[in-house]
Amino acid sequence: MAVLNIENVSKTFGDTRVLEDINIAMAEGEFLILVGPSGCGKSTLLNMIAGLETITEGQITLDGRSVNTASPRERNIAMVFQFYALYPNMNVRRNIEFGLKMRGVAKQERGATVERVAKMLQIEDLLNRKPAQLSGGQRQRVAIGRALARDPALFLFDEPLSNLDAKLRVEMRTEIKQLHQRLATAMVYVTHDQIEAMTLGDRIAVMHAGRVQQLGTPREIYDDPANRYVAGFIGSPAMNFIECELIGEAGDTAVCLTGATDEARLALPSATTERLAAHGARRVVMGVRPEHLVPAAHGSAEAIACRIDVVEPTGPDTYLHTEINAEPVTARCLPSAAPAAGDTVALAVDVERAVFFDCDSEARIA
Amino acid sequence: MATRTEDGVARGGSLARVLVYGLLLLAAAYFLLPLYVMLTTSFKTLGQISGGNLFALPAPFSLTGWQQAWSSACTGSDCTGLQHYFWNSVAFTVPAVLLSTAFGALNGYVLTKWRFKGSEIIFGLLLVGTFVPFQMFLLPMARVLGMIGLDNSVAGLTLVHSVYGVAFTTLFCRNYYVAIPDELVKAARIDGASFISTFRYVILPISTPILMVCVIWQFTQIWNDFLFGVVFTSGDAHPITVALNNLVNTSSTGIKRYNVDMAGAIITALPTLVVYIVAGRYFMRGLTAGAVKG
Repeated sequence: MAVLNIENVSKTFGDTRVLEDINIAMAEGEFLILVGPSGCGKSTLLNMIAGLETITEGQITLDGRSVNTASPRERNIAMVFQFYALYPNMNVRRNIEFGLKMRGVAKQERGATVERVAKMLQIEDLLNRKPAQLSGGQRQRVAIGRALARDPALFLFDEPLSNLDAKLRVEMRTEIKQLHQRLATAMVYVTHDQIEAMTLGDRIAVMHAGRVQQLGTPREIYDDPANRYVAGFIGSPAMNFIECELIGEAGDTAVCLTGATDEARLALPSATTERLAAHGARRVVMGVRPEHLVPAAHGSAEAIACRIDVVEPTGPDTYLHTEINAEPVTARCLPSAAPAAGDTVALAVDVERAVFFDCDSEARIA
Repeated sequence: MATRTEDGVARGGSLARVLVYGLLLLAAAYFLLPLYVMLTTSFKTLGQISGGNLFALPAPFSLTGWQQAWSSACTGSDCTGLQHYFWNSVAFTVPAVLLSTAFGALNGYVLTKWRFKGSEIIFGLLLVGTFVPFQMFLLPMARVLGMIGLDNSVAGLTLVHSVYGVAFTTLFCRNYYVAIPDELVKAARIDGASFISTFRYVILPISTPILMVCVIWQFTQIWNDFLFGVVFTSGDAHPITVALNNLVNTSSTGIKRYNVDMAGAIITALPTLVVYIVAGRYFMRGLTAGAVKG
């Protein structure tokens, strides 16, 4: 049975439609990511699950029970906020037990819970401190502790790591993942950071303009994006989009790619050509991830000669910025094989991994 | 010559400094001299006042002025001093301060954390209340008090001051609460706290500075008020400000008893001074709290 079921949910603020027809079902113990740019409606959706925002249309069920009209108190959920939202007047202990106190749990039981949670998060020595005396990482740990104390059916995280510095963010990310593995409780996690989305999620819902653009596992989202938006949003550096002409008939189609000088023709795999033929367009947008645009082996017939504008070493990889069909693209190479800026390099496209989008609708066509 | 100082602000040389301190001392003297004259005069005998120097210290030191002002000076036909009226003022000031502060805090909480359709309009209307002068309230309020049977009573004054003060306390509290992150209230709701318990356990404990501002502001306004007191009450129900006026203007013997007048004025002003001293350190903190988040 689904822990959380969101059916045909829409949300309007005045005349503005912020969420449109959202459908997500979450399995027991699943880690679901809502990812998207600011203003895509992901936090609004989380607030609706929490009961902090009303639902304009559709239905949300928790544990099989419709919660459309239930107050946050009546939902078996806990939430961790971006700015921690610790009660500044209470020490850590009282922060953690506040939810239990509000639900009338006896003092002795509250004490036991606080001890258990504090031990799990290794914040036992902080229990008597006020939030102002804690560092950012400690505060977020306490905020997580406050959510854990309630032992809810569903955890909600609203960009919990975006206020931490880069190093701490990576540490806490791992800790949250470990926590999820240990608790096996369902979690909904909102973030705008696609790396957090990829590393944490069992499934990812990529949101944009109030709609779920794609819902799938990190692998599906990365390898098999539903449209150009998802393809461009997930992945760093971003996927290259090259507008190009198709030549030839079905079964024997190629794309024309021009680098610095000559035009190269790349034959496409037959499965791809069939789908492209079914769609019918002659101009398409080809999407190629930087790791699938690499220096060609010597003498390769389908290599594209490109003049490298910028060379960007990142450590494990070096990225090359150049142009294909007059559009800026990024290629990847080994640091040991990195050319210098200004060099002309033959690049090869892994056409098996390339994806194709409609020029206008940006929908995936092959 | 300008030199860099610890706080990084460049200040002038010694001449400029002398000028600055001189000016400050002059200003301090300007404000403190009247208080000095009041204090010394209140402890003098009538003979010393009429014969001596205005700035001389009291010799002999006499408490007669204070005793008479408190318990036997005439305010109109009644000659029992200010004590009765002092307690009158306490009786309506304390509840009115507490009521208007409590309502202001609740209003501010609702207007910032539980916004509803039209809440900004309601806040705007309340804001208008801070611009309406006292005088405009007089006639309609007199009618209302008469209709509900609270005219010429301490309870009536409590009501008038509470209602008039809510506009100010709401403004103060609303501006303070607007700087408190909404996430705090959301967290409390998720934790299962109700509207009231969120206020009680989360908002109220961090409101001390702004509540102090409300208390000081309201206490000063209400205790020092003369107009409402003189219009809405008479005789026995007068507040101390009206009684002080009557005391000063009642000269049955034809002699101005300045020591009694001065003592009476100090007695009247004392409670506000005490409130300022006790709660004052929160005052500045509260007034600036909205500006700097955190």
